[in-house]
Amino acid sequence: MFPIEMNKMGKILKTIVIIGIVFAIPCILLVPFLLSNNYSVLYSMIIVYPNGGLMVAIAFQFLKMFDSLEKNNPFTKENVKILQKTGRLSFGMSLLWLMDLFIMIALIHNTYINYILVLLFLFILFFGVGIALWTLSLLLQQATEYKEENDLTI
Amino acid sequence: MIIVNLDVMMAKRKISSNELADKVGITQANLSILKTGKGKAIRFSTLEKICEVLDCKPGDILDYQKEK
Repeated sequence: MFPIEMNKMGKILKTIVIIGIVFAIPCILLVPFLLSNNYSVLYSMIIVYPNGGLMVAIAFQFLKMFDSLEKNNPFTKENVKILQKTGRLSFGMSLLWLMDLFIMIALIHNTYINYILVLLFLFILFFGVGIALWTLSLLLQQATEYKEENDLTI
Repeated sequence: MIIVNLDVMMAKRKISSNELADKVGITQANLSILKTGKGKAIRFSTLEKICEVLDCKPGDILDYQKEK
C-alpha cells in the first residue's frame, strides 16, 4: 500500500512544482514593468532577479527528487546530493536577501520600513530553510547507509 | 577483512549455487552477493543453514585476513 501512495505523492508534488514554475516565470518577467515608476524598489530587483534564478534551480532539483519518489526509490546518494545542493542554494538566497536588505537600508533612507521587515523575514526564512535542508540531507544520508546495510545483509 | 570461502566449500561438497540457494532458502542474487564478498553482514540463521547444508563449521566458510 505504501509504495502506491509514495508513487502518487511523487506525481502530485511534481505537478505542483511544474505549475509553480509555469506561473513564476511570467511573474518574474512582468514585475519590472509593474514597478517601472518606483526606482527605489526597482533597484533592489537587481538582487531579486538572481534570487528568482536560484529559486527555479531549487525547483528543478526538487523535480529530480520527486522523480525518484515516483520510482519508489527515494533513499539514494543522488537524493542526498540534491538536498545538500538545495540547502546551499537556499543559503545563497538568504545571503542575497541580506544584501538586498543592506542596499535598502543604505540607499532608501529607511523610508520603506515594511519592505525592510519583509526582507529581514525572507533572510531569516531562507536561512532556516537552508539549515532544515542540510539537516534533512544528513538524515537521508544516514537512512541511505542503513538501507544499504540492510539490503546487503543476507 | 573477512574473506568468504563459500566457493571452496561448495566445490568440496559438489553443490551448485542453485541447489544451495534453494536449500538455504535465499535467492540466487543474495547468494551471489555473499560469494563475491559484496555483502555487508550475514544473519546467524543464514550462516546456520549454510553450515547445515554444507555440513561444515562457520570457520570453514569465513576467514579473517589482516588488511595491508
